[in-house]
Amino acid sequence: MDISNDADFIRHDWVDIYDESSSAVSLLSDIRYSGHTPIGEGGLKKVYKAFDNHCDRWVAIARISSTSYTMGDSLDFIREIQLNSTLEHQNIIRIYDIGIDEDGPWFTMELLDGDTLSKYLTKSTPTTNERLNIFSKICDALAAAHKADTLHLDLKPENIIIGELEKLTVYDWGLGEQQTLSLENSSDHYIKGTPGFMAPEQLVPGSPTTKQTDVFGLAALLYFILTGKSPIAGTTQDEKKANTLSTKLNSLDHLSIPKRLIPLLKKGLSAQPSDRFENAHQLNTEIKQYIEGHATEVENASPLMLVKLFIQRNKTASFISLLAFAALLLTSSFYILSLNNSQKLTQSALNESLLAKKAAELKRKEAESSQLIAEQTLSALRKEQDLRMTLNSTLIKMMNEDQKKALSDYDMIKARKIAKSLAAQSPNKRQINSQLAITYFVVQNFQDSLEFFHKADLAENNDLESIAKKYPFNKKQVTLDILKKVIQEIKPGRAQLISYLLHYSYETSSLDRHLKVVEFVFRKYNPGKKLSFNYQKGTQKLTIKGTNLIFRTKDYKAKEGAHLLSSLPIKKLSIDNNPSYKKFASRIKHTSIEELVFH
Amino acid sequence: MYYAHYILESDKTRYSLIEKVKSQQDEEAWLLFSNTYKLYIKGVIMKSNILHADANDLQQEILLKLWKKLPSLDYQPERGKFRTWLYQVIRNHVYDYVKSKRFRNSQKDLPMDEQFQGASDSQLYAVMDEEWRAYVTSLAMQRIQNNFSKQNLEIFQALLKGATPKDLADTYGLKPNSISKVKNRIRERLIVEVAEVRKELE
Repeated sequence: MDISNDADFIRHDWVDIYDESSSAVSLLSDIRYSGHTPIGEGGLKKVYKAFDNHCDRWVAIARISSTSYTMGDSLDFIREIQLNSTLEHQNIIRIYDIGIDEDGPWFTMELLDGDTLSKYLTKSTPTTNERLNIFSKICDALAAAHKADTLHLDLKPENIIIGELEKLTVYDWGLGEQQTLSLENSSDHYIKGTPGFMAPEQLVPGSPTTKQTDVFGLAALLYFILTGKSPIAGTTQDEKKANTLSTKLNSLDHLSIPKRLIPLLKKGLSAQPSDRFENAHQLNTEIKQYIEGHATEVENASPLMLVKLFIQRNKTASFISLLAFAALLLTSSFYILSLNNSQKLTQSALNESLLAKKAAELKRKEAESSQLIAEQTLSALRKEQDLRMTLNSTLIKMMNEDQKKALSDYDMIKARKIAKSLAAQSPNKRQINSQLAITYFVVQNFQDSLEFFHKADLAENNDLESIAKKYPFNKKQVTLDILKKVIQEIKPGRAQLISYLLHYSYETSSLDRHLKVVEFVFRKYNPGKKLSFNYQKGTQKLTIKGTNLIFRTKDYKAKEGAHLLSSLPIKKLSIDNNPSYKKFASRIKHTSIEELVFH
Repeated sequence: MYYAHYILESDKTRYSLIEKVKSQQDEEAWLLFSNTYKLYIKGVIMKSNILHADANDLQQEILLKLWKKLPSLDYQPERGKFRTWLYQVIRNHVYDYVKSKRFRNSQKDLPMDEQFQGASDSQLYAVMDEEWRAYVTSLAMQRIQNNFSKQNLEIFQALLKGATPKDLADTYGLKPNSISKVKNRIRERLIVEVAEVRKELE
């Protein structure tokens, strides 16, 4: 186009542009939103997918659905927008723009690309922990809303969208309200919510809706996230409504619900709003504690549970030494493994110890391959230096199990090592210090045990502490005389501890000495009874004469008692031919005993 | 080319061309002024069905009249008063010309149906306005040429001539969506440029 060419220069092709330059808006585009593809309808509004020509992005545009809407409808519609637009949170849908035209009020919002919660759960079948993380995000959103005194009041799987990169969005705040407003306006009595997820008070005209109403909805969602079902029984809407009113819940004792979450669900789904968590934040704190492995407030954790949780927590910390111990523990001796496994088997099949041995052997091989996996995982993890993200959960489970096993299977040296590293990680935890003190006690490092008994400062350990005080030194092995004195002083109820001592004795002393210890213990638990105790080392035959003798003893704390002869390898145990012995043969029999005979 | 040079450099001189010409009555200013408005004036004359033989003379006369009267113009850029004044000067000159002996003599030699039938004020204003709009937009279009690829400009032209994005998508191997985007980009840029040109020339 040459300007000097008079004839051609002025062209009328673009002449319309002249007028558009007068208006600033048209500098962008004359049509702000183009293309209205319906994508959903609900309540008062119809939602379309549209392109925002000004911001160059797809949006969801919501319009009032009824063509003959009233002023009241418009007000409700606008209220939803205002309610939502005051909330700014990554898990709450974002409102972009509001307007009104000849078709009534409209607003645009984030176009959510993803699946509804129900679809997501069936599609990707997340693990329990992943499910709880999803739930925690929902709680996050509601906590932010509750902080702004805003209620959702229609929490249900359809109102949760999970998109790319697991981005979760809570939307449809259409029924929500500003709490301060709702309190003034209690005459507002039309029923809001969705049966199956709504709280009972939402069905009672005139009852106030509060943050605790949303808490019910959240707990119902948690139930749904874990089980795929609504917690309210019933197939029809009316049935569900009736069951909501009477808070008739589906069973909480569901296979997919972790036991420890049952009290939390119970509280959240309480009939009385005042019995529930105060708000979403409180519920979220509990869930986060659960995810992170702390005991939740509502579950009243036992000390043992606390220790277990402690170990679980460290699975997310890059606590490599614990992992190393897990690998180590998997190598726990054949003896211990066979002991443990054949014990279970022989209780049902009395004389099939050969089978038991084979099973134990099999288990040992399994354990060895697990160890290999553990070792490989460990070295991979070390290389990756990204432990937090890649920790193998099965490895962690093994670690937990094996820490417990080390104690119950009398591997005191390893148990002490674990207790030591635990105590180093958490020097102020009483239970952990107590655990460590006891393991020191068992390996007869009484001086060390005193230090940790002192740190633990638990009354339940007073008896052991006073014994340790009498022998305040660390020795690899105390004299037989001292050991006998110690055993004599230990309260009979500490059967587990006695067992630990016996097994430590078996591992660290000569068979002759160990026999004396075993006999001493056996006599301790059968005081004043006439008995003879005779062990043949070569044939490993133990003959015990005497009636009404006790072979097992109960521990004051542990569920399972201890077998007094478990630390002795016995091929044949010969006892009196006594009817009561025969009757309780299965209890007298023990994994280390291959054959039981009656003389 | 001097004119084109000014146009392309105009981004540096944000104040109105009229202000510049008004305060600087020298040869440089004259060239700037005449180069800017002569094509428009010629366009109006041609569209008005006045004898084309006199068109160049008329164009020059009108330009000179504007040039002389310019210093006394009470110019208020925000009101776009120059354009109103411009129309008025042109209209008056055309009326004077139509009444002149020169015009009547030239008409005598023409067959009846080719003779000037007269023009109302509103007709003449409509012509001036339409031509001004076309001139400004054409100028703006020329100024943004370098901002876009040849292909995109072709697409834009084709769309203005009635081609559908779908047709063009096939021709250029692009998505219809992309074709529409090209159109919107150029269009938007053009709107902005038109606003700039108007600020300078009106």
